[in-house]
Amino acid sequence: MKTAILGAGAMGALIGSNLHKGGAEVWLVDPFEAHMNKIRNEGLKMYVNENGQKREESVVMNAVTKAEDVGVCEVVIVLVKGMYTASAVEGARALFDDDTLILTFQNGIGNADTLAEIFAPERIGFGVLNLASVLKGPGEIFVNYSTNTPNSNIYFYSNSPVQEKKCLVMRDIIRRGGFLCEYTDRAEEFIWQKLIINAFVNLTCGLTRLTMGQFFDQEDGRALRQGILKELIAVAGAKGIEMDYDQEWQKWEKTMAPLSPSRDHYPSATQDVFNCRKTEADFLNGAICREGRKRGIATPINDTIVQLAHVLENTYDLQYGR
Amino acid sequence: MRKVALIGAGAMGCVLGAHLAKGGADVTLVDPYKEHMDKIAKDGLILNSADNRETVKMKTAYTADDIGVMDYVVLLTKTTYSDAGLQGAKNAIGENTYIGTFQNGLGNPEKIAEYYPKERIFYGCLNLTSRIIAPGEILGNCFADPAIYTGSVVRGEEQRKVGEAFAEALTKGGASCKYTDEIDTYVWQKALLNIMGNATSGIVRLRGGDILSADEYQRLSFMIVEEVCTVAKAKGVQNVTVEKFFEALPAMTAGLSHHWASMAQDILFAKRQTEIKTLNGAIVTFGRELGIPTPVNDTLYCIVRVIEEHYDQQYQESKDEK
Repeated sequence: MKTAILGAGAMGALIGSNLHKGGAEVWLVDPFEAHMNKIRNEGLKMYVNENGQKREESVVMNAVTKAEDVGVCEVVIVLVKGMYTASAVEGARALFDDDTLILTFQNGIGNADTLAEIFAPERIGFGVLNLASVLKGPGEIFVNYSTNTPNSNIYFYSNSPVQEKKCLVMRDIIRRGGFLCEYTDRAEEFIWQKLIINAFVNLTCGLTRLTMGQFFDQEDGRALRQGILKELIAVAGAKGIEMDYDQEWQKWEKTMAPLSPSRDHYPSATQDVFNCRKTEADFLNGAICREGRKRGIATPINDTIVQLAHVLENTYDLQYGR
Repeated sequence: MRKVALIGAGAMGCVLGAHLAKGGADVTLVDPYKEHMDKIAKDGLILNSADNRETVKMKTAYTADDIGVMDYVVLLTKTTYSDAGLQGAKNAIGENTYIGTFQNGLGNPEKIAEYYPKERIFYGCLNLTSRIIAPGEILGNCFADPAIYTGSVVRGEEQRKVGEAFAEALTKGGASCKYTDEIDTYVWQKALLNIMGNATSGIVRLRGGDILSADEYQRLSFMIVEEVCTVAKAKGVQNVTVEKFFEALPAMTAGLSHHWASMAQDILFAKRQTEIKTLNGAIVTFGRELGIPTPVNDTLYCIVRVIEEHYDQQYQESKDEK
C-alpha cells in the first residue's frame, strides 16, 4: 500500500515507521530538509519506551521534501498541525488522485471538516493516536506508548463504506507494525476522550508556562479543569457521545498523579507559545466552543481560554520578554 | 487639626497623605519600606506631577504601634496585605477612629468590617496614577475631576459630616474629592476597568494599549464586562452597564497605552502575589453569593492564581534567543 505521511514531524515519522514495519510502501513528506535527509540516508533513530521497556530502533524510509518526488499514493495520512492542513494539501497535490484515501490522525477536532472542504467527504477517514512522540533533532524521536492496556494506540473510522476495505488493510498493516489498532465507529468517542487531556493542558500550560504536572498540582488549576470538562461533556453529549464525568476525571487524575512520566512534559501548543508560533487553539478547546455553538451550548470557560490564546499567538512581538 | 495615618505609604498612600497634609491634616505615613520613610522624614516627600514639583513634610513610621490614636486611619496597602495592615494598625484605632480604604478593586470595606464596626468605615476610589520613582519621591498624574470619590458603608448624618470633612481637606490640599452616597457606582466603574484589563495584560504580557487594541481581545473584554455588570446590578449598584463602560473607555485609557498594568508588573517584573482576589476574584465571590455564574472571571482568576503560585517553576525564555 503506497502511503504518504503528509507532515512527518514527531508523530508522522513514528506512524511512518510503524507502517513501514507493517509492510507498507511509506513516503514521508515534510519541508524539514535535514530531518528528511537523515531518515532517508541513515534511518529514523527512535528511542522507544513501550510498556516501560526501553529500546532503540533505526528505520530507513523514503523521506522527501517535495510531493512531486512521490507521486500518486493509495493512502495519504495527514499529520501536519491543524492550522496548516489546507496549505499543506495545496502544496502536495501530486500525492492525490480520485482514489486516494485521506486519513487524518491530527490532534483535536475539526481536521476532518477542514479536509472535507477540499476533498469529497466520503474519501476521508479520521482517527486518534494514543502515542507520545517528541522530535529531539533531525531524524531523532523519543517515543512513549503502551500496548498492554485495553486502549488501542490508534482508533480510526471512515463514514464511507467505499473506503472500508482499504481502511481494514491499513488496520492490519498497523497491527503488523506493532501498534494496537481498531477500525471502529466508536472512533469519534475516543477522539473526544483524547480531547479532554488536550483541553486541560495544551493551551493552559502555554498561558501559565508550566509543565502538565505543575499545572495539575495546584487547586485553582483543578477548578479550571473541572469547568473545562463539564463544558466538553455537555457538548459531546449533545452530539450523542455519552461520557461519564467522574470516570473521565479519575482517569486523568491518575495519569497525571505524582511520579507519572507524563508530567514533566510541555504539551505541543505550549511549545508553540515558547517558540512564538501559532497554536492549534481552534482544534483543541476551540473545537469544544465551535461544536457547542452549533448546538446552542454555551462554553464560556473554553471560550475564554481560546481567546486568550488567540491574543497571545497574534502579539508575540509586542509581549514582555520578547 | 485632624490626625490621619496612611497604612501602606507606597505610591498611592504618599499621594493621598501629601494632599491631606497640604489641606491641613496632621499626617503620619506608615510603611515598612525604611529607605522611603527615612527619606521623607528627613527631606519631606517630593511630589512630581506633569507641571509641578513640590515638597510636602509629613511624619513617618515603620509601624503603627506607637504613633498614637488617630482620627482617621486609611488602608492603602496592596490588598494582599490588607489583613496584615489592619492587624498592624490596631494601636492607632480607637473607639472614635474612622477607618477607610482607597484600595483597588472590590470587597475592601467588607474586609475592614471583619475587624471594626460598619458605622466607622468609609471607602472610595482614586482616579490617579502614581509611582515611586526613588525613595521619598513620587511621580503622579490626575486623570479626572474629581480625582477622588469617597463614601461611607453606613450612610448616616454622622458619617456624612466625617466624610465631607475628609473630602474637604483633600480638595483644599489640591486633590479634588467628592463625598457621595453613590460611591459604589464609582468604585465599581474603576474596578471594572481593572477587572477587564489587568489580569489579561498579565497573562498575555502586553502593555495597556497593545491589549486594548488587539482584535482578538474585543469579544473577551465584552464577556468580562458583561459578567461584572450582571453582578453589579444584582448587588444594587447603579449605572454600571456595558454600554456606559465602553463609551467611557477611550477617555479612561487615553494615557495608558505604554503602561504595564499593575498585575502585569506583579507577574512579570516583581513576581509577587497579585491583587486578583479583589479584582476578578471578587466577582467570583459575589457571583457565588448571589447564585450568578461567572465562568469568564472564574477562568481568569484560576489562571492568574496558578501563575502566582508557580513563579519559580515557570519556563523562562532566554531573551537572547529572540
